[in-house]
Amino acid sequence: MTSAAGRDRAGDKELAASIALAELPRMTPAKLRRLVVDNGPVDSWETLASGCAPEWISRSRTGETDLLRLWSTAVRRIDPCDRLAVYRRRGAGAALWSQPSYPRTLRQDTSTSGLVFSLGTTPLAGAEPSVAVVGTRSATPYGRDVAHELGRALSAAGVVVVSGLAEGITACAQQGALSSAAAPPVIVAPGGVDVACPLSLSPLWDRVAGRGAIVSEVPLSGRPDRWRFPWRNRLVAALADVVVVVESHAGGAALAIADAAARRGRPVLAVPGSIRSSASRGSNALIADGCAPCLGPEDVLVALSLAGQSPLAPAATGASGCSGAQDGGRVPSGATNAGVGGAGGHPVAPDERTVLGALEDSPATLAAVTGRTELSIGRAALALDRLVELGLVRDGGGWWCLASPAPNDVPGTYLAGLDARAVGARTP
Amino acid sequence: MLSSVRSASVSGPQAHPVLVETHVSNGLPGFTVVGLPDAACRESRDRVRAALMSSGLRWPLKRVTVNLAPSGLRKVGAGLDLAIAVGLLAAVGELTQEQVEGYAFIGELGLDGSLRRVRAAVPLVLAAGKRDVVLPPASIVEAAVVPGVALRCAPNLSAVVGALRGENGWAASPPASAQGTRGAVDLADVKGQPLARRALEIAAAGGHHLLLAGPPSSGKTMLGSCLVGLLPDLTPGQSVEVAKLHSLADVEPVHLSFRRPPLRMPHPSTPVVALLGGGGPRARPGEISLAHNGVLLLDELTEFSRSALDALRMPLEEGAVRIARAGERVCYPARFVMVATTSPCPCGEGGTPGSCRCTTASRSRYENRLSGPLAERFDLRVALSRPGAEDLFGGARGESTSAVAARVARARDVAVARSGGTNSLLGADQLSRLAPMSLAASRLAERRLRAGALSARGLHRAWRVARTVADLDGAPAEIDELHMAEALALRSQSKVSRGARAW
Repeated sequence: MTSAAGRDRAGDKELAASIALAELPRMTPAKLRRLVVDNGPVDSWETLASGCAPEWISRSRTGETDLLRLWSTAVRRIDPCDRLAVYRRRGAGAALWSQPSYPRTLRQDTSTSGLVFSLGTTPLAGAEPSVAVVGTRSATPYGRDVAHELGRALSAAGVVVVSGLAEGITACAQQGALSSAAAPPVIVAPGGVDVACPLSLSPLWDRVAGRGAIVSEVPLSGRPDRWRFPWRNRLVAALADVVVVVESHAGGAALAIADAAARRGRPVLAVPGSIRSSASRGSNALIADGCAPCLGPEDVLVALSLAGQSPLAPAATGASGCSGAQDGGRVPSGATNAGVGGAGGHPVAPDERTVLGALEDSPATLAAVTGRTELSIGRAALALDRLVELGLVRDGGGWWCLASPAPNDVPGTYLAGLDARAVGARTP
Repeated sequence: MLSSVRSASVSGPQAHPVLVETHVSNGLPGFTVVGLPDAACRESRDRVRAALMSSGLRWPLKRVTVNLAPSGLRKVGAGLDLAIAVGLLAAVGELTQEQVEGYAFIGELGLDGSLRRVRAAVPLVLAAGKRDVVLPPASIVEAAVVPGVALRCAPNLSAVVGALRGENGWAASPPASAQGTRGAVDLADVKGQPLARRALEIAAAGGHHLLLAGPPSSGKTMLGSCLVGLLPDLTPGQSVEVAKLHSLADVEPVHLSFRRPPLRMPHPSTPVVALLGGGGPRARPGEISLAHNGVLLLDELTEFSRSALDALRMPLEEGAVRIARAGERVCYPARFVMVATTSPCPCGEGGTPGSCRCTTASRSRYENRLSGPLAERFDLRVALSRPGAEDLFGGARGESTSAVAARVARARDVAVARSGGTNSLLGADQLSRLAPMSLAASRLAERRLRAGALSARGLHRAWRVARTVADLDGAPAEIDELHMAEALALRSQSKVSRGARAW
């Protein structure tokens, strides 16, 4: 999404002025919108440079006089053309609302700032539909599984997966989107596009910057401070045609994103979860409040076409890409039918069969498995070991659950992109 | 006239035999004590004089010199009062040298002639040598654990004099208080937690260190305090060791007969010097030495300061703690089974995926306190979950402590017969010789090694635990695949929190 580089000198001037305005201290999206969209950016810059106040400042609260003073000193220090050159050098793109590279979904939005920065190339400006996959940071294996599945299937169907980046649901969704070599994903950064946040997921951040794009309304090197997160959440909702909440605790940020999307009239889907799991409390509440339940990637595609944004490339691997198709569109969970004897025809011993049966309902620790099956610790541990080798069961640090038979997925390898430090914590 | 009476005195961590020589001669009346007495010892003169007069005996108006030999050793405390009094009586003629010859006298005198308790009775008795020891009643029970010594009790000075002269017998020793029950909590009172109970059994049978991780109110502390009940009674030699350390540390004895292994549960705010030992003027043994031959329970491991946890490393490795102070070097034994409890994360819910509400920063800070060399010492790491309603209110009653303790005792006997100590002390060379693995077991271990889930040191630790599991399972010659699987499973349980997040 690089700007119309150098071809339109007026456009360049406008862009440079917008970037400089965005870099003023204590700039908020609302103020930037007034400066950039309501006035022209070049006019606003010149007004500030000459020490005059834009009329809306003098009309607003007291305390804004400090702002004016702050800005007039800052304006003298910043050189717009220099800033534009810095951005170009660092490979960061910027798109003004008036330019064709501005994201399509933001065109009608009145709460965004009118200037979007980006790193990498993204089709947000084009006609591809975009879906936000959001959820909690502390997710269950089920939620992570579903997020990964949705990310992969949607991306394979040509949909741009948009989300913030945090451990848990959003990381898994981005992982899933990267794992299919089709539509690239987009991460919305809380700070500048060059500041990876959170640090523990830097490898994933870099991969998305390479394959997809990072976008933000915050200028380069902006710190990802806490007060910028609500703006990031709003931008995620604004960029998406459809929002899917995979798992959320009561009062989670994902619910705020859902709220922002509903305000813009975008459909919100929520993935149902166990009523006993606190991680699904928020998402279940959304369904109770009237959001459509998302039972698989197809539901998201249906919501997209109802919103008028069908994916351009119908899912080539539609039937098999969404492994839910095996169970008639349900999110994959019951692997026992496919699993027993289905993993390459390996014979499954009676101990292992018992353990598989015990894991059907929900993930379990070793203690729970011995409780449910009456096997001794040694036998249960051996059986779990063999089942993990066969690929029927997945180990998440002491909690075992059935592995979903996703075709492109070898169990456990999608962990490779996540923090190697966390996964690589080996018992000494 | 000269008399010499035997006694003992504690200096630093040791007790030494002391010979109290009393010389009485004509001359200006005076009473001098020589032999480096400390202030309390010098005050003996006044106490002995008052005690003698209260007992109806005469205080001699002669020149009296008392020498506490060896003269170069500092004499600390008031425990020599009785010996000085008896020596004086013998020198003056009230008693004969033959009457006091076969005894050692230890005790503090009150002004009314009564005998008072002395500190560190056990080392004093051990140092007094092979002779009958006259002790105050309050110290008799403590010192009763020392074998091979006859302890004579007397309530006051006149009773001592009477017994020495043969006029009356020695008083009866006060009875020891009731033998403490096998640990305060019975294992049958703990609901559910099958993995943790098994881990307790293995820890008791092999002396392996145990880490219990779980959310609050999952019964971790209760389980930890059950462990001491599973250990067998102390041998007489071990009893004396434990009694000596408790005496030196001047700890109010809980099991006065010292037959049961001690349980020490230091508070997380305990300073390092109280934990390791070396505090006070006499380099007292610390908590880990008091837990020698017993159990050290560290509740809320992450609340302990980093320096305290670091300081535990060497004693865990060597089985002893070396304290170097200005005057001396002391080495106290410290071989114990360590049980630690911890939560998986600051909010306590990290064990269940999807329930933890901690930020990543606070979580990693919490885990860093747990990491490091101390964390590797735990051979058994079990994750606990909260007991469900059906466990608490219904559910079969688990095995009681005595049932499990019987199995533990049998397994321990096998291990001792095999290698002379518990399985946790097996060296790397001894493992392959004394604890061979079956083919299937070694293949399982190899698979784990290849997968990177086990390091070489981890393999040795798991091997020892597997040998203990095999001992509990009828002690076959070879370690079976099932035993190794159990040992490996119980090693890696408490990474639950990290793993559940790292998906």
